Amino acid sequence: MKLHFNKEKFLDGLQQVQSVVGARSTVPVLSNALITVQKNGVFLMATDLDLAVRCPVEAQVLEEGATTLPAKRLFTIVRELAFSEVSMEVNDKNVATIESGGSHFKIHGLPETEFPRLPKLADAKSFTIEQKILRDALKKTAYAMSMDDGRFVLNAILLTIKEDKLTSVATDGRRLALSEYDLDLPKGTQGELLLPSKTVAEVQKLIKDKGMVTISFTENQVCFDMEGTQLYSKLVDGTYPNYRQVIPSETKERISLEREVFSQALHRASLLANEKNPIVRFEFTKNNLCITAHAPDVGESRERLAINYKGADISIGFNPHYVLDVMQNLENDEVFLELSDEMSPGVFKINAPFLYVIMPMRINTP
Amino acid sequence: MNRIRILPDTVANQIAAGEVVERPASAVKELVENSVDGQASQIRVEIKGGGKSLIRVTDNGHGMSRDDALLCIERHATSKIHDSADITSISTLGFRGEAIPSIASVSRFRLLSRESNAPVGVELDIHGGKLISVKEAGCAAGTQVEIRNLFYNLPARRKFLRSDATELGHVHHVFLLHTLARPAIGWTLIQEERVIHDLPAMPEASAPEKHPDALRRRIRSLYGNQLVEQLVPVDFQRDGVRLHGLIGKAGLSRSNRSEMYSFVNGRPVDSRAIYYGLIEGYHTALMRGRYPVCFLFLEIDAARVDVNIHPAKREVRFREDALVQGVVIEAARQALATKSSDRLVELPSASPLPTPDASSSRKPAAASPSPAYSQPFLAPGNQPSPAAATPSSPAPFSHPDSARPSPPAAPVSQPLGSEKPAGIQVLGVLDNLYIIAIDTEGLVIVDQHAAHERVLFEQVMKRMSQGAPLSQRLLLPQTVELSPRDASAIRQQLAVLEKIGIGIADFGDRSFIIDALPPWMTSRNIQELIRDVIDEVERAGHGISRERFAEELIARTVCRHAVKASDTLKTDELQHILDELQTCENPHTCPHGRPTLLRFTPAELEKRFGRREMGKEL
Ligand SMILES: Nc1ncnc2c1ncn2[C@@H]1O[C@H](COP(=O)(O)OP(=O)(O)OP(=O)(O)O)[C@@H](O)[C@H]1O
Ligand SMILES: [Mg+2]
Ligand SMILES: [Zn+2]
Repeated sequence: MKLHFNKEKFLDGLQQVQSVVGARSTVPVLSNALITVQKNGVFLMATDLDLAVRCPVEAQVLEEGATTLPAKRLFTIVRELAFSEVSMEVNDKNVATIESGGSHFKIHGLPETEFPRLPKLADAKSFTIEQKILRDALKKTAYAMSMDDGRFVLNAILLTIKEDKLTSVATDGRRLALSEYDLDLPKGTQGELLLPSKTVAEVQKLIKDKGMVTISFTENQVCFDMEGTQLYSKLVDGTYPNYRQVIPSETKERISLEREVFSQALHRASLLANEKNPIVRFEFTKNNLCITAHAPDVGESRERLAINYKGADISIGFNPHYVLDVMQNLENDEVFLELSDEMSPGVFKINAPFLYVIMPMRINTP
Repeated sequence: MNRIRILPDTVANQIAAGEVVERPASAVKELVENSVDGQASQIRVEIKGGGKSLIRVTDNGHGMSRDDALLCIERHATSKIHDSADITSISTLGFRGEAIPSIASVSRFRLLSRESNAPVGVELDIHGGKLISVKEAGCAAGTQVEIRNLFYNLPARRKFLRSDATELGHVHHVFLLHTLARPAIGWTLIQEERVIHDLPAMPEASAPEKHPDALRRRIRSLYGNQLVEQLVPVDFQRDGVRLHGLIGKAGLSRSNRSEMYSFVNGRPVDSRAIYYGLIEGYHTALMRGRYPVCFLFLEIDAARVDVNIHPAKREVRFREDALVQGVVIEAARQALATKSSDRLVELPSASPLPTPDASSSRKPAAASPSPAYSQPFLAPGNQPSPAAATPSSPAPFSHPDSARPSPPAAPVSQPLGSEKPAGIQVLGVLDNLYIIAIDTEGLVIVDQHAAHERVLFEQVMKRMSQGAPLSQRLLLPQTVELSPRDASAIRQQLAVLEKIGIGIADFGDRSFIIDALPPWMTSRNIQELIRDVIDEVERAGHGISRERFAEELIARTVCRHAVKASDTLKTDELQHILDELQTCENPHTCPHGRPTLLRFTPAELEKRFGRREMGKEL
């Protein structure tokens, strides 16, 4: 096999597949990237057996063939080359010769036949949406996934496609994020996908602000096709809890907050809430919000904010990280916090179909 | 023809000797016990040929008159009890009147004794139980018993004696036990005419308030300074049972029970109640499967303990076993808790405490394979067998003939000099598990998981004891169904659970609803967690104490939360763990009692590199 390529274009492709290359794989071939050279195009692929990424790269094909080469090493070599025109030739012993300007490299690969095959998604359903919608859906919910290993249904995002709506939900049992989008899909398209957290992270790396993504899925597998770049993954097998029941149907107070100002104040106040003491107290009184943290033996903090509030006095404790998480992943200037009392969940909303339910924290005084 | 005959006394004594005198060490034991009972303040033990050729015990006690001396060689002749009522409250070490006749029947025996007010003493010679001569003798006040050629007339028994060195070892042990039991008495051990131990009498030890000091001095003369510094005092009393003495600091442990010394009313004994009580009292401060070091004295009314259950009086039975065990548990807990200065390193008093901050909050490990998600979904091609692909190369640092460096208990818990500057510096990490560091005392190897567990455990315990636990409400309350046994156990612990920050409500029958958890506790498998804790605490016996329940629950939870053995940590994270570990009350063990760190002092390294011979430095 033989090809010529442009250094930057090839690096781009390698970068996309590189993050799924098994780091300390016990199967040597998994540290390699598969390079397939065909008349109709050149493709790179890598997999760690849970995920697989395949992407096309622009190149001039001189002779068809396929091989696998150590992905990290290939990446470093190509990145360091001084000239942008590069030629690669691989012999039948899977030894690749890379030449560019005065540089000459030989690297040993492994036969393409040792490399895993991509799954065939038999009887897959599929739909196509704008990449920026999926990107936004993941961004607004991913941080709420559970990080405890073991509760695998919660180590996932639930994507639901139903009645022309895409809903993305994540929860760790203490807070829940939900984001919804109107779609214009062919009649009858529906499905539920539980995307593992690792898959979510990979999709977030590959997805762009423009273009379309086609999502094909079966019972237990999914493929995201982002205009040529494909990501294959398993789906989590399990039943997602009935999250609708935890969303409060009504709350007593609705408070408008300036997101930037509020999150900066919260961030400062939480400097005195640490790992050992993850709580800040929000006290809402007439036109006033006071955010306090108190760390035994360390000290305390207090932030005062003028707000527009006419409701009853409420004092409620939250884990500041949970609140900062949602603030960082929203772009709106104005956010709303809905509250009832200090024992009931709080709900953050924006002027779009999004909500974030967060359970309060209390200090048990003996 | 009559078949049944009364055995001649010599034969009866030889049979009794089979029980009383097993080996030279048991003869030594009987003789020193007699000296102690005889109110001696100085006891000398001389040994030759491992005790097989000679045992000579000399005391300065009240001695015996000629008549008493002649009586004492008769079976069941004793001055110590008079009637059967006395048996139920024995306060002397001897009481059967069997030892002397038994020993005399299996050896060449000589007894010299003089009462202090008598002008002359008496000398008896007995060979194989036969009285050879009785004569007047000039001798010091007190008693001297000489045993030569033990078992000379019972070749079968003599054959079973072990090498001189082995027998000598047993004699040493007996000597040690009694010198520890009686610091007030001065003791001398002479072996092949060389003085091995010469321990001064400390009469003040008879005063309870002076006893701990005297005991320390006695231990120091027997074991050296190092052990003494690793002991903390115990003194606790309840319901007429008093336990006092010294026990090892948390982190000090041995692989067997050989350094667990316990004395009941001054008698060296093995007692399950004391052993198990102590191990339980250490709880997380002792590694599972290892044993503490202790020198414990239990004082209890003689009527509440039965010493007459073991032929060599090595065991006792308490009439209230559970009470005694409870006293030991509580005594040990208090002793270990009040000793908070046992730091990894001492901070100079002026320097600020290392500030624990958010830098220890770790990124969760990249999603690890979960049950539903562990099967690779791509079938690998002709993949080589995993075995061939992962040559198990020996870990660096491993020693060829001992897979892991034997964890010597002593270096682990060497107390560190308080005048030295603080500071423990990370050098690197091995296998993503062992932090290699140095401090002023030498090389320190820390198990990152165990260490982090200890740090988290103490943080949570502290928070709980401050009485302000945090409780994060759950979006989806969980229902937990328990077995009837577990349900009733939990019902008694609801208050404790609330105190930890677990919101739990009894839903009747065997169901409970959990709607809040402390922020450090994960909600997964809370049912299993609670069941494990109940099992664990019940296995330890004697009901579930509140502290134990809370501790166990927290220990198990922080274990899941702590950094794992395989987590890759950055140097500052490693440093942070070490810094926090230094501030722990009990830095040497994880909450499950495994060690958090091993220590190798330069002296220890010198030994291992053969620069200094083992044991020669003393
Ligand atoms: N060193 C001694 N000093 C004073 N009296 C002694 C001494 N050794 C023995 N006796 C006397 O001899 C008696 C018999 O001793 P022996 O050891 O045989 O029996 P015991 O100590 O009474 O009971 P046990 O068989 O349980 O040891 C003792 O009761 C004591 O009166
Ligand atoms: Mg006796
Ligand atoms: Zn553990």
